[in-house]
Amino acid sequence: MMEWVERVRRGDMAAAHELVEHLTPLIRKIVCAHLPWRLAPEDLMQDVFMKLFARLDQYAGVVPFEHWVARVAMNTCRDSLRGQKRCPEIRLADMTEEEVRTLEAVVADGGVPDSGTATEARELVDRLLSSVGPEDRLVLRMIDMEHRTAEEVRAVTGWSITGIRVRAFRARRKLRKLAERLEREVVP
Amino acid sequence: MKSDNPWDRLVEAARRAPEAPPAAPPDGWTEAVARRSMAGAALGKPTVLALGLAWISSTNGLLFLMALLIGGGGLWTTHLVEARRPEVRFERWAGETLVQVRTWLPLECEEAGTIGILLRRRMEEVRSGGTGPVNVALLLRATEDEIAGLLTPDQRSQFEARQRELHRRWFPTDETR
Repeated sequence: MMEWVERVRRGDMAAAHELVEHLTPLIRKIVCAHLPWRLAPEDLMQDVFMKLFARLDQYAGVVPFEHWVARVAMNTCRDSLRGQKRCPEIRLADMTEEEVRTLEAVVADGGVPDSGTATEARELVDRLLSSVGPEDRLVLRMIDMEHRTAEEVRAVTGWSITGIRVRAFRARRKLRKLAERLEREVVP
Repeated sequence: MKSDNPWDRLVEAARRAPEAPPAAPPDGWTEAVARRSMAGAALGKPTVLALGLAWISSTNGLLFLMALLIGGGGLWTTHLVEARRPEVRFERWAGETLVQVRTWLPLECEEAGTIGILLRRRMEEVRSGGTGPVNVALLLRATEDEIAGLLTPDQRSQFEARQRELHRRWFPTDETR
């Protein structure tokens, strides 16, 4: 891996192409998990590669290259989420019929969803997550959706363990309140 | 233990969603990204050097000013390279639909595929009434049939509904004829 990096630093275009091909699955996975609403993954992946190559000289080889790449990708996703306007408030009246149906099916019925409902539930979770800040979104997605530990989040983001736990707790509390309000509106 | 909170149940349900298979990037995408990233990195280096020089020479006014100018220019050019993704937007003018593809630098052949993707994506934004940032360089004209050919039947009907809405707004006199 270091050999590739060295060749890219020397301006070897073939090595750059190989590096992009090698890193694309890893970056795609991170980008797709933290993609801002209505943004194509290829666009954000391109931004990640731009930053990666621009900062390649800063990579000292202390941590594994993939870890360093993951951190650059996460930071790019966070910046992109920051650039997107936060939804000020999500009301039942603003939700589509499909979203209300999903809410009823998952929240009110409380049964085990089929794969179709589960996919719609994921979209609804994305929508509700857009009501909190980008850092809160990243933390909740990693801990609640991807079952990562606070230590793993720290490794990728560089934030303190306490900060991550407090952030997750506050964001979860906010989203629980929001979901409870929506539930009351769906099932009066 | 199963939570009673609707948010927790929603997250639990969302976790059961099957992972979407990774889509292959468009043809030529990796090559284009590698070339652009290398170009961006090459531009970034003189910028960092010049800004470093500006810092060191801050006691010499003229040298400081020159280094600052070089650094600023480099940063601006890097910004241009990063901002070169083409932007697409739709306009309706005199009964024709104009598709504007705007980019800072000339488009290259392999980027035609990217434009196709952008057209589809921006269509979604047109449908939901959103707008995006636009930089000017290239103007493409396409007929409605050409645009509609890029869409699924569902997207096409939504596109047509949106076109009717735009037409009502921009050409209100047609409604009264």
